[in-house]
Amino acid sequence: MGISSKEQSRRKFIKSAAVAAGGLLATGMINPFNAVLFAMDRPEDPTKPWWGYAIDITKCIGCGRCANACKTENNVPREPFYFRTWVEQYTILNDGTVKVESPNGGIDGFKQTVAEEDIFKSFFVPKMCNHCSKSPCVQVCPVGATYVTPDGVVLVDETYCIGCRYCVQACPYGCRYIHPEKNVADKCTLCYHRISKGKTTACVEVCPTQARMLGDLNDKKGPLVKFLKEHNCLVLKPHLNTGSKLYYNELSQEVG
Amino acid sequence: MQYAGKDACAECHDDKTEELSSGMHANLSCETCHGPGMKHYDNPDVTNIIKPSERAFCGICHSFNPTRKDKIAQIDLSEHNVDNKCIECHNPHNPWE
Repeated sequence: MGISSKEQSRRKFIKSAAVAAGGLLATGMINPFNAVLFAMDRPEDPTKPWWGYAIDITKCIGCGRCANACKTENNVPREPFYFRTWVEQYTILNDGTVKVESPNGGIDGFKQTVAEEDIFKSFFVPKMCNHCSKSPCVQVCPVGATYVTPDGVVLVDETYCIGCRYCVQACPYGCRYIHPEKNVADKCTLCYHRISKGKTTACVEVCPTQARMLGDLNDKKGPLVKFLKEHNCLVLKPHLNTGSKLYYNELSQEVG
Repeated sequence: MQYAGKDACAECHDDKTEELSSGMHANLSCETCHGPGMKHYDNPDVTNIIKPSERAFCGICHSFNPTRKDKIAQIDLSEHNVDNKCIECHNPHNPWE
């Protein structure tokens, strides 16, 4: 008697499963898991600056001077809900509930409405564009108005932008808005007009506690790389594989 | 460009930046409190920086909030020396001198 057809199909299955597993393993070897520092792509030119940004949550006092300075520097509309950067106050209560507040982006300061004895943990989280190297906003733009500069900054060309709002939807960090007068997408430019002249961003300039840090990821001895070495930094929503270059020290799991 | 940076301020006001560097506010940028200074830097006779003196302004950082507890000196604005401005007792360039 020959091999039954049932057994044959089992053999076939095992064979194809082995091929698939081998294939997966091989792909894994070609493109291994990278350290958080390089969870993004590599820079185009390692001899030139490649901007990254770090925020130390342990230092932020929630004064909102960054959000205020950003609006001043970049002519962001003053009314709430238009922000290139803002600060959130997270309060985790003893009963496990998580409260997130950001009145006027933190520009007018924060008040803690939860009684101190009910707080399990509380902290401020400044938010801004993550200047992702595999950014969803760039991928969805139908007219190529959003692009990444060679030094790693995500920008919008407002003469190309048609205001279709795809990118506003695509950004998983909520960092874009439609400018109410220009009717084009607007976002953090990492103060490109400043950093290209050797100055730091407005938010870093005014931060009273040095909770914010702009730096060159290509400068292996620079302050940003040093900070990333010495602290256990994480990026927001790493499972989305956005290649974020905004690193948070002491980021809690609750932060979305 | 609106913010000139501390180095630009120090070009003329080195006495102030020096005073600042000796106290608790040493790591603050001038423009954290005084607002954007580029216009003043370009035209010092025409535009001046702001000099905030209200209690509420100091309170942006220093009013009590358990979220920033242990990170910074804090007071309850509604209790602490209510009738006076902060700067009548504390020199903002060197708050504990």
